[in-house]
Amino acid sequence: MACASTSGSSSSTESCVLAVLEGHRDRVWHVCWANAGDTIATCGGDRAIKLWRKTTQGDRKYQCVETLEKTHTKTIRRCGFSRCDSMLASVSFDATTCVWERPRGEQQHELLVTLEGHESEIKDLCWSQDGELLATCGRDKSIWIWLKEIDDQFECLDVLQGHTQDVKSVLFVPGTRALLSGSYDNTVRVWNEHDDEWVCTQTLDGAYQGHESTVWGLCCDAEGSRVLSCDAEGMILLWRVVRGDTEIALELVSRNMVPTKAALYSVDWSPSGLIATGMADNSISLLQAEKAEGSPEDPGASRQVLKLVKEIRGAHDGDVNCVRFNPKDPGVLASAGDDEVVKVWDVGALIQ
Amino acid sequence: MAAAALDNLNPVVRERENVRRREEVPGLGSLASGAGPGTSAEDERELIDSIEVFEHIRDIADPEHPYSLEQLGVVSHEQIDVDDRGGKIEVRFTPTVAHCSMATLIGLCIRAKIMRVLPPRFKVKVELSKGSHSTEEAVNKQLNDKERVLAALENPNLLDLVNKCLAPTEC
Repeated sequence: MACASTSGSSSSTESCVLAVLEGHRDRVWHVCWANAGDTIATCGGDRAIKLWRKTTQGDRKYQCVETLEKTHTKTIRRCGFSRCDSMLASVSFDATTCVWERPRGEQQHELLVTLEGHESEIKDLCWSQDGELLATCGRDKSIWIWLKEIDDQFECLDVLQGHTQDVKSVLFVPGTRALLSGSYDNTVRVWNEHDDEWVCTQTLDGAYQGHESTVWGLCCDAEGSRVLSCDAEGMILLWRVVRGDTEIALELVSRNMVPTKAALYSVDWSPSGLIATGMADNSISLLQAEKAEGSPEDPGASRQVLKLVKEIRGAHDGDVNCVRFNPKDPGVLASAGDDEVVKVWDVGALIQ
Repeated sequence: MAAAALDNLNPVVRERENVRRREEVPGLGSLASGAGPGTSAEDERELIDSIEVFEHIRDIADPEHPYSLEQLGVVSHEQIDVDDRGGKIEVRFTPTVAHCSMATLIGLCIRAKIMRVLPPRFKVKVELSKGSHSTEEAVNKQLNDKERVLAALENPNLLDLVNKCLAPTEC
């Protein structure tokens, strides 16, 4: 498959761009890293998934090594690698989830299975940390939990109903089977598991000082102790994960507004603690969770707020739909935009 | 057309308004889309204004009546704000009746038309004019959620309806 690969160019912010990945023929909705940090997968409106790898010639270039297409019949909204990177799942507006597998020793992915069940567009997916579970969610207001069986088939364990509008995002809390979800109904919900059944134990809405607009994205810090949720009106909420014996719960820590109030489509937390956001005003912001002023005692990060470290205006020539840090190298950030490109950023150079 | 299903049986029909039209080479007008209206290539780029946006959407056919959105008073150039340098377009529209079940489809048509003919650098907001609809907030939320809008435009049935409404604007 022929794909282009280029490296960065000049000018102030542009010098922080390690690579511009060109090849998609429509908006890029999502970018994700393999857990090994060596491969980027991207997907979008052209109904294709592209895999990009660092080339050995010159360390600042990525090359498209594979294009998975002609399978999904509508926009591919998101994709994600399983824990050991052997599988890649993709969800689409065509109401299906595809699981792709790269057989041991092989270079190319093969379609392993197509999961059907959702009634309409699927909008997000998340693998559990142990790689056993795959959660998908979408416009039919439901969340499906799939179990990967020993023979690589997938069985639906549970269908979670509760949201009153489309579910935009799902996230397994690391180290648990508990799930978080964000929705067009303006709520974040917490789902705890007992014997393969998930029960909604918290509905965090406006009455709980939660979101007052669509919740687009969720992410967790490396320890699984703090969560961020971002919304359509530029609000990022910081939550603390309270772990009980069998259940987790979220406790609001702080409400943080980005200055431009632009819709926040994506939020990610790097292993080193830096936070990135992708926004509808073409910008990317880098933030840091810090102790709020005038709060001397800070047991359990209960008084943290988000401080702006760096704003990158015009990061893309269009909405920034997704930002993701390299899990192995927090100094590298990838972003996907409506301008049909993916950019790889040198975070260290950006914040200097 | 199923007349029994009409939300408004007797809509007020207006005259086509004589707004300032740009000098256009006959038959070439629509080719200018994407790069801004073309006069001569040496000229500075002419700014896109509310009149131009209105030109693009005035002839969109109403989903249920044999009239254009302009003729039914659903759109007017006064209800359009354009900030060319800031890259913003805001269109407000007014359904003929406050319970109009077609409001979302009309808004989707306006959005689709703007997406197709104007440069992607514009951030577009399409909203009901204040107080014009019984479920104003819900319709506005849907019309300004880009994921819902793009998904709707990949739905063959909806796309077919949108294309029928946009057909008169494409000649």
